[in-house]
Amino acid sequence: MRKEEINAVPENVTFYNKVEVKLQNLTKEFVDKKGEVTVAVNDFSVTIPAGKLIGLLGPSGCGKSTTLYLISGLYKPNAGSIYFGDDDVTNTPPEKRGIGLVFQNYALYPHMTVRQNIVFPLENIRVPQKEAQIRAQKMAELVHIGDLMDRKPNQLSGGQQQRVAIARALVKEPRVLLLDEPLSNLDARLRLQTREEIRRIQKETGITTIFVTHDQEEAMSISDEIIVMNEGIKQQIGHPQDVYEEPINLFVAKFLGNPPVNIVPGLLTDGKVILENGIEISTGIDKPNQPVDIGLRPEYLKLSAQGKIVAIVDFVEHIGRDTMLICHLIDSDIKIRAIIASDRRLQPGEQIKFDCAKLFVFNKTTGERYK
Amino acid sequence: MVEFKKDGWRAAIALTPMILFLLVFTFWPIINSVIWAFLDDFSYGGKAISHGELGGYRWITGGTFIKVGIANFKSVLTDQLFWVALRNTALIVIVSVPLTVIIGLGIAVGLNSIKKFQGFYQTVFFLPYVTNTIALGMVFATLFHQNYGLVNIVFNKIGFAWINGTTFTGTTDVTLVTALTVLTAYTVWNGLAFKIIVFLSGLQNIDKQYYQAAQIDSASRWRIFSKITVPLLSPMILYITITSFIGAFKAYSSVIAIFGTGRYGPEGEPNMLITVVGYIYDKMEYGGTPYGVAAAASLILFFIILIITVLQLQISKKRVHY
Repeated sequence: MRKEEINAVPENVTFYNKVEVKLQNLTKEFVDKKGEVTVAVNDFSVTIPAGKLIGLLGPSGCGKSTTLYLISGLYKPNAGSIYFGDDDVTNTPPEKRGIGLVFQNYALYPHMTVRQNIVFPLENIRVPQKEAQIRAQKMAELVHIGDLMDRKPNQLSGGQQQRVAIARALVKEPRVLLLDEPLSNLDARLRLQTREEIRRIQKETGITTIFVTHDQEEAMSISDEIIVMNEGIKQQIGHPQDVYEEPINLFVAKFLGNPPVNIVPGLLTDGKVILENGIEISTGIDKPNQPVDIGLRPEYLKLSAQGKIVAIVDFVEHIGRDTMLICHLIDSDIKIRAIIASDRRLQPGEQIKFDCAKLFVFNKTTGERYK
Repeated sequence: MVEFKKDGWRAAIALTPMILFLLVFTFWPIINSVIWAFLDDFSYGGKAISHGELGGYRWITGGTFIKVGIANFKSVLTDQLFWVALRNTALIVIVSVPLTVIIGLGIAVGLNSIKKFQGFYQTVFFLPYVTNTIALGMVFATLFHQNYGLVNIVFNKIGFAWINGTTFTGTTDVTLVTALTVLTAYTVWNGLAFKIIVFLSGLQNIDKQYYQAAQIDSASRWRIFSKITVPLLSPMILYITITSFIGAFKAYSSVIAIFGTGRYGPEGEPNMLITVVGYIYDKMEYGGTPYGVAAAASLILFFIILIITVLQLQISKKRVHY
């Protein structure tokens, strides 16, 4: 293709058709051969704002991929509806929904070159050959694979294949881009690079993008908002930092954060929590007295001479920027992790005192968080 | 190294019986027939040899002879019957191979796409594969029997002769076309089960996500079939095509199954559908001709198959995606 032809198309690839995606009471059940019913997605309602990058996050088997396939139309819901903007697409077949889907293993056609892969969706909708070629080239350049157009997928690295898959999904200018575990097949270094790449592509195109992941760091780092799912049920949606700092229940608190939140049993008594060893921390929570689970994020524990929480250091892990302490509370065998500045050098066996900047209190049976 | 040596011995012991059988029943006959093909005036103990006398393995150890030459090939290539056989074989190949590949692929794709009764239909289509070939041949021969085959009777009634010259409405000559039609039907049907098995297993190995991706990208059924299924199945298609070509070139028993032992055509024209392999057997069995001519014909057939297979592999290099 000649250079002028490429330049004849506007510089920026922008999609103006940003849509909000709304899921209403979405339910999907699978019935196995024995007739046993598994509810993969359970009464799921959420509104995904237009033009945002959304991470759908949850442990394996929580129904997040099923949700994605429901949005794509490859699965039909048992109940509930899906809206793209004002369009009810619940019964619209996948090819008419205007979605681009990037599969976990990319599903690039192995017998086609990169160019043929990207042009394929355009040929299907009978875009004239010349225009299709120009659009494919533009899209390839957007994802930085413009010079790999004549290679076959097996001659590309995982990251490059990922980009081809994104280009193929975007070339027909869909309303919504869906990515299924986009980074799971990449090595650690490439993962970091690719997630920034996904962020950049999403920002440049402005397309409403939903991606599925089980990796909280991945979701939190690039998403405008995250949706946490468990056992087919939506747990929480919000800005990643908000969800991290104000988890709605025990599951969300445990699922987000690395190292994970410390969960310590306690007794809620007149607005205070009392730990097993008698330590009292005031919370200001106005609930009847009851046993509770207390969540302490490792970084919320600050070393302090006046600290109420007294512990003995068991292990010290230097992790570069910070130091992680594994200790046990005095007069008990409750283990907790704390992250402290690396300039404090501590030895195992030392007694230390923590102040607790913030803690979460959860209902012992429902896991609901008290505020 | 000790391990390797021990394993080497074990392997040798395990393989020996098979290798012996192959040497005696495959490799030696191949070498032998190549030698025979190039021997003129083949004789043993001073007299010309007819097949009854020929021990097959003895000529090296004793006997006088023997002139090397290409008389056998001349004899084959100047024989009108050989060219008839070659034409018939070529017709069988050209007609039946594309048909069998296309029909097999069609049925496999159909089977793969249905959900209900898939197991039932699979069994139905695979049944011929596990059934005795002779039994199948007998069924087919009965259906198309010259005098009282069901199909033949029905068509004879409307004045159309498949493999019998006389009809109830008058005499219609059996033509090469009608005879070949019956033969093709038999050949295609007979080989279908195996092809369906191969295609179906190939189809089931194609990642479903390619189809989902194509569906999302609004590909039509035909484009999915031609741009995704066929290319991804191309190694299987090549394998089936080549084995079908070879099988069709070796056509013999199918002709016998339809026309009866010792004939390659309808009454009055016993050589109408003679094939190259039929010609080779005839040279061995009838007419007292020495084996040399049959061996030469076999070699010619071998080279024809070899050339076509090599050509196919060359052409397919660009079109087959592994």
